Amino acid sequence: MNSILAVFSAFALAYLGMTGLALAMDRHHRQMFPSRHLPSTRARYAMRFASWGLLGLSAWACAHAWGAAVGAVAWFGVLMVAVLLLVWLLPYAPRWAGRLALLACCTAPAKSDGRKLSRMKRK
Amino acid sequence: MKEYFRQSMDWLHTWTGLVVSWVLLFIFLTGTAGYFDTEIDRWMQPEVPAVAAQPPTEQIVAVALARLRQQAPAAERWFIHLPGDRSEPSLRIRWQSAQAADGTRAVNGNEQLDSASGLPTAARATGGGQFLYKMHYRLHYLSKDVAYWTVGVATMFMLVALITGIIVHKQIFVDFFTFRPGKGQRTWLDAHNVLSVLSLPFQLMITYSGLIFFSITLMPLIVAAYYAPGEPGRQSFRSEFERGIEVKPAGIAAPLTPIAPLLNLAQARWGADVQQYRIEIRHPDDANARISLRHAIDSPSHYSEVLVFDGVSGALLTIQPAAASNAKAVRNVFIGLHVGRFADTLLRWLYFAFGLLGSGMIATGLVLWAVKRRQRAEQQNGAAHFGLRLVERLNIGTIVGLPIAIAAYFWANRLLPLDLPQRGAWEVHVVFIVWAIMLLHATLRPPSRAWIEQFGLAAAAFALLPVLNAITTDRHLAHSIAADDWVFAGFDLTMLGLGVVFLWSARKLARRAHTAVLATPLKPGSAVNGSAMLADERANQANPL
Repeated sequence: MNSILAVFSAFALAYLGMTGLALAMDRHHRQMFPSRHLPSTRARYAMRFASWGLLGLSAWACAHAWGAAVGAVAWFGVLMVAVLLLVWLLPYAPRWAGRLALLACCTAPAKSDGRKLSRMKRK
Repeated sequence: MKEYFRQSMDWLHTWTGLVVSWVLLFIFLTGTAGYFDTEIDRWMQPEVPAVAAQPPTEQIVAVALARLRQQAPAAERWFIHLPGDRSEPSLRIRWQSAQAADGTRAVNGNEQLDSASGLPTAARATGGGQFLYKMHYRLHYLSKDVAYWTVGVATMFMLVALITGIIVHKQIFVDFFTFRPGKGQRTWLDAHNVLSVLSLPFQLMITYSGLIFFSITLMPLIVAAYYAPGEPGRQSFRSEFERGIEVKPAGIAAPLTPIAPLLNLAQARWGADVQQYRIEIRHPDDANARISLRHAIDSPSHYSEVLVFDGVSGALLTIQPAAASNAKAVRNVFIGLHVGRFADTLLRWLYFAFGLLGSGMIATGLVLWAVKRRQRAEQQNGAAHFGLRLVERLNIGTIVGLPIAIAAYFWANRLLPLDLPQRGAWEVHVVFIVWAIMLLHATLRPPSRAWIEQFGLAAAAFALLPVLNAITTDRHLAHSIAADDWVFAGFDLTMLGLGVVFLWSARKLARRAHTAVLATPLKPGSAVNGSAMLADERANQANPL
């Protein structure tokens, strides 16, 4: 995996993880999918669990791109950008928040992990 | 008890935040610009060409030494910064003379050289990005002690505001993704929360490490107790860090050993690019000369291992570790994280974004303070008291006025006559003159108008900078992009981006002011009714976005 790819996956994974965490909350689930049922408690826990896993993978991608010491610093920056984007999309373009997550799924080079979230979102 | 605790923390957060906010905003904005100090330096000296291919290192060292012998033969220390590092794109020499008997330093100096000819680069005098960077802890027009104490106390207040902020924000996780636009005061609170929580790791790091920078200034008694009171104690404390290099000049002239073999030795050990090493020579051309080599900073631990050589024989004398103790290592990491010198381009942009978020956190906090009180004043049908009006004015003049003043710094760089004496100093005077005008403007105009006018001015000041650059130099945006000169292109594009943000804010406010004027006659006597909605709308006019 080269560095640009690693940086890109770090952002994609962070965005996916954060979107997953937001989806596990009623308020934001309603924002993104107004017509669908709220997830069951068990599904919610599964989402949270998987999302934290994705955030962990994002940290791993940062360490891959920058090395452990600088990567740890960069990870905070990557998370900040991901949340900033999500927080801005949620009120102004809630549909795009979900679509962007799907896009991130398809393009995140760590494909196996991307699939986890798209399955999760179908619930 | 618990509620009382939270209330008192709320009080503490409100007031520690308010009293130093404008100073903090100054520190944040100039410090954030400081993350791109070298890039701004280069934009502010358009005569210096984009870095070209460098001659062999041996030759660069030779021209640097020749220039140092000519400029500062009697200096105690010489420094050579080889070109190629981000923080030193050009060859730079510095020199320092011995401490005079009365404790003041004798002549120091530095020059940027052309690495082929060894002559100083011909470029306009400017404060450059270094001045913006330096202002964030040194302020300006103040003595060093006053500035350090002011910034130190403001930083301490900020740390208190951060910690109390975490305590009073009851729902960090529940509201983590929450932002509700168009709801007046609620929106301001959401924005303040989101900006603060998102950048919290950065804010805690930058504030705490900022205090570490000042630890000796803020806690002078520790050095006084362990060494000696006053300047002698501080001097012997400082010399602790120089153990192993400390040596007196012999007073006998001796030729300096060639430096290239030492560089090769260092490269075998460190492997990094030789072009990024820094060379320090103590007591040059003396029998007791010492040459130390450092490598570029590539990790948050900030300091490099130092190789110390005998300056005459070239023998390796000592290897100083990057951190002499664990305590020093912890300090180094905090300093390194604060300065971010290790950051590559992407990470540098993230640092910049964190800095802007921090500025946004302070600005939204300030506006929130004023919105709340303006609303209360409207509801109670009372006039806004002096404190509220003062804060509203200071907010406009600082949140928008200060960015305008920084843009004026760049305008001054291009427009002041090139032969003006003290040109660099005048660029900085322009910053404070413009800032004063903006503060004055904010006091003279009604707040809702002042916001719109200053946002409009800021939009023009930033968005027209690339145009000014195109008129006054031949390195316009299209040229920079075509020449792959991303320092110049990046600067122009960033200014354009900032201009667009300010323009968007100005338009948004103007539109709201327009609709508010249309709506007012429909609700006669609404101030008597104390309609919360309208009070909210008014409050937003005085403290908009």
